[in-house]
Amino acid sequence: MIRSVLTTRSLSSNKIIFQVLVFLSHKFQEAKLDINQIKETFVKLQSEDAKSQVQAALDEGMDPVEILNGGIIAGLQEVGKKFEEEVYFLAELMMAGKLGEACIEIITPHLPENTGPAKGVVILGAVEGDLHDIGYSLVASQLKLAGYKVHVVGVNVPSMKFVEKAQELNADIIGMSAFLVTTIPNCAEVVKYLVDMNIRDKYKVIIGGAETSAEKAESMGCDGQAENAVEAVKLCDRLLGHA
Amino acid sequence: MQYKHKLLYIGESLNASIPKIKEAVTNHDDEAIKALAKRQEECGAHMLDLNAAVSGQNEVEDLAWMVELVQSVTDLPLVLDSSSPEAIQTALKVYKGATPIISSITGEWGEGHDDLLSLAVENDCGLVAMCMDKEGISNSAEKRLRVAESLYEKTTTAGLKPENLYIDPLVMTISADTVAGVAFLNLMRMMDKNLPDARKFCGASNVSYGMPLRKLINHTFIPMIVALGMDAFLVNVRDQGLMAIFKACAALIGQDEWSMQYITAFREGKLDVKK
Ligand code: B12
Repeated sequence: MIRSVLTTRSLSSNKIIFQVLVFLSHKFQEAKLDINQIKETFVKLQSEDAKSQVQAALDEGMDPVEILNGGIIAGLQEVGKKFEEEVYFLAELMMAGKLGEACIEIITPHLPENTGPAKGVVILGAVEGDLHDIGYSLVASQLKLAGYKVHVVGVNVPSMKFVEKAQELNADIIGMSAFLVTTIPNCAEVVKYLVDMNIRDKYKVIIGGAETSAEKAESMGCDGQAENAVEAVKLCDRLLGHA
Repeated sequence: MQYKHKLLYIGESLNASIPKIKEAVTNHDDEAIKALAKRQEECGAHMLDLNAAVSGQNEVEDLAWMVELVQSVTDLPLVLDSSSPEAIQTALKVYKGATPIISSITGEWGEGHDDLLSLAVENDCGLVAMCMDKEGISNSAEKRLRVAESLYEKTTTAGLKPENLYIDPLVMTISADTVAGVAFLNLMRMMDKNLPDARKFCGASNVSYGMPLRKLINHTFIPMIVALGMDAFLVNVRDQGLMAIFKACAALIGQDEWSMQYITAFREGKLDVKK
């Protein structure tokens, strides 16, 4: 391309300008990204390309919320689906989780400041003994997008720490991820502490993770359960009366 | 590197977390259990792991039942795999023959673990100790080494012979952590230096969890850890290719005099992996 522009030197100046314009317009078209392309690159797990496409889309002025929702989160969900369908392997799911994090980091500074008060404060983490963090990271991004203030407390979080954090941050919702037969009962422990401390009414308690269900949530004294990140936002909206 | 402990192959298949075995334990299907015990012996297992934990069932009775059943068809020593001291104690009462191994304790001390430790000391049996504590499994090799050292301290002070301690450095999958394999290899090096007397035990196939063609990863991993001093392997002994690799490994680390076992296995057609 460059060489073709240089060799136009011998041509008349009008022609040069014309050539340059054609070159630039090609360049522009080449760079013009659409959201599906970003999603596709993400799903193909082409890390470097995905990150540079996100950056390029931001530079071009594409709506950061659209990039996040239509590109990254939609991409992650698609990878999750492919994993469930046994098309993708665990390593690919893990890689997608990390790539999602990196992309979200690039987008975050460009997201519009949530004007007006946050819809609510949510703390999120995986219960004691549980190290699964891909799922709740997705939930965290969706909740932030929806206007919630989200505080991630991490994995392997002792029950009392959930309570302390909720008090410290004056949270509205305590969200817990639990995946294992051995760790799901820890959700009930958090509820028990809240009851014992006479502060159960101050917080809504929600849970999630592959082996959880609405029934399990109810039997453990929680306020709700969600199957995925989109449902998690709806659940929070409903519990806090935003729906 | 001295390779002083002979490579030990423990058949992993009699484990109630495997759906078929769970069914056999629930229904007390004697024949299924006996057949699998025999089969693993034929495949070259030195010991058999028995795990009878099915939720909603009586593990204390079931483990003892399994021990008697398996010992009715084979003289191989057993690994009694349970977190319940009561189940192990009851199983030891019916157990006969060569020294068993109790599996397992962790670095998170509590009544259960102390009971298992005393049982191992009193009965002079082996004891598997996993390198995790109340903080879980660290992905740092140094931290896991520290857990291994404290397990060594604690168990040998309680009277366990060092050669009866089987430290399990915990193999993790490379699916979830790109450096899980490297960290493990480094941990093996450090354990060889700091804890040369203890035996090293592992469930090696975890390394390939979630990967395509798991066998290839497993078969590649085994010689790497053998070279670094791993000596007790909880494995699928029915994987003929794997057993052939073990034979080659033993010959290569000087545990097979004049390679006679390797050569014999060759003559018997046991190294013909493609079959
Ligand atoms: C990835 C994975 C791992 C990774 C975790 C890495 C990480 N950094 O997160 C690794 C390999 C480390 C791992 C380890 C183990 N795992 Co695992 N793991 C999985 C796997 C394959 C996928 C989970 C995942 O990330 N999915 C993708 C995300 C996007 O989906 P998600 O997690 O479901 O999250 C969505 C919803 O659940 C919901 N959600 C999630 N959290 C929350 C929270 C709230 C508040 C709300 C409202 C909603 C919500 O929204 C999310 C987004 O849409 C599952 C299988 C499965 N079907 O889930 C097993 C699984 C959960 N693991 C299992 C097991 C047994 C283990 C191990 C014990 C394995 C072992 N023997 O070592 C260890 C335990 C580690 C520990 N102490 O936690 C079992 C659990 C069985 C059980 N019920 O006891 C499963 C179900 C696999 C199986 N079928 O056997 N695991």
